[in-house]
Amino acid sequence: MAVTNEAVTFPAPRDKACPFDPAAVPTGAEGAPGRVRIWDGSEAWIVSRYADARAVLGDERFSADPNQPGFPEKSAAYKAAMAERNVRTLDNPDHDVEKRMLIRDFTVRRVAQLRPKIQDRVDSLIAAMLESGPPADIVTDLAFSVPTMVICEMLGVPYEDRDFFARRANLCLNSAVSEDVAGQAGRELEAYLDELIDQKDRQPEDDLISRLVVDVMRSGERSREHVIAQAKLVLVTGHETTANMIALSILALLVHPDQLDLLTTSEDPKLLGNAVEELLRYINVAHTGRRRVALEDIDVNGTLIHAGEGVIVANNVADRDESMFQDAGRLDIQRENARSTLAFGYGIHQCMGQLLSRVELEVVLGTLWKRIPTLRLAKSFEEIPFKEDGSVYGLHSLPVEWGTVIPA
Amino acid sequence: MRVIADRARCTSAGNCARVAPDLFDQQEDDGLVIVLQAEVPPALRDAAREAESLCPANAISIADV
Repeated sequence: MAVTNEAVTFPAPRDKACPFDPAAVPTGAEGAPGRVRIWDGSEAWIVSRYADARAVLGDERFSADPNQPGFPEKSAAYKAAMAERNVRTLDNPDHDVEKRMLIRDFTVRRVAQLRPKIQDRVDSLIAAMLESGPPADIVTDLAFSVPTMVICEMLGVPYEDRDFFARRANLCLNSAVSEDVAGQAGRELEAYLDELIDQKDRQPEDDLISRLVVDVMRSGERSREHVIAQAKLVLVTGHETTANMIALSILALLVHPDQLDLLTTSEDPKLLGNAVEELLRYINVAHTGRRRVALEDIDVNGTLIHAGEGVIVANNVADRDESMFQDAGRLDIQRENARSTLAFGYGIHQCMGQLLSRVELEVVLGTLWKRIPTLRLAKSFEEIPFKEDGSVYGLHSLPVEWGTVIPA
Repeated sequence: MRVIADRARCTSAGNCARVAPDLFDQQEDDGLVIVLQAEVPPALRDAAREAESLCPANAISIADV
């Protein structure tokens, strides 16, 4: 890549011929951090080497607080809908305190308990697809329904309300909409959660919102606004991310038939888990980078970043770093170090839902081809509509069809 | 080989309990790391190294003894 001092615009559009590959980003010498210009005209550092990405994300002198001066926010819409104080935006020591109030629903054990429910849900969604198709649209018929169900279950949000909050969650993460539209969607979600909190207060159940109400809101330890902000974050971020990762994973396997064949015929019980790691690395839906601002002057492997300068960690580009992942542009579900992916970030802000997301992906990918071995695209790959304008990469639709299906 | 977990650094991500469930667990209420066996049997050495390298908060270290 050419060494450049001129700040180019980030994010740049992808090459339409290679929709799984991230757009190139500018670098300094030997892949060191480069400079980009973002939507508001300001400049920021862009970090794309794997080692640098881990160094920045693992260093708490880089703040994740969008209210810090110099913070390189994703868009005006994102700022309007997502900038409140919650585990995503708090630095330590506050971050860890808040996270521990939420984490019990995201532990390895708790997620393992949810697996049978996820399996049931996936089984019934695929059965419904088989009954009404072919064709089917993976995005609406499968990919979104799985995380929606999981989030409802965890948070204690009624599943009947899914269309209401899914629509607003989408707007909160959509950089293409105006500040007003995103802000409005955020406020409507808050009003919805506000009402739900009243219900949980009257009649607590075994869910995350009830626990926050009973444990910290009633005692006055945390305000109602704070509980709303935390619940909203889980509601919004658990959705588009996993849903699009499910849809893109299915597409990636369909267009890499050798890998799909390996996955469906292998007797190695660990291959499915590794395939999920590799798909996370290869696809990396959080494609607009992790955003930070330096709180002091910091040397990142030879590049001095000054206090107050914004930093964008392009985790998707770092996950294609050849010095870390050999033949990084290739999807290889047997890749030995696929688990080192930065798809969920790194450092204290690593995605809280990562274990849950992995299980959802494992269940979907482990079930789909068992039930529909002849699954194939119903359109050519070139006709599949990719969704590039949000902070989460994805698909607008994924039309599929199939031949004869062996009864369950 | 011994594993050492620094609870003051732990950020409850759960990667250790995921990749090395025979060595690590999480506390139920706050997800903090619990070391199940500090002395690492030879068969679990790779898992221990992976837990160390994946911990996003650098809370796990390995001492070769």
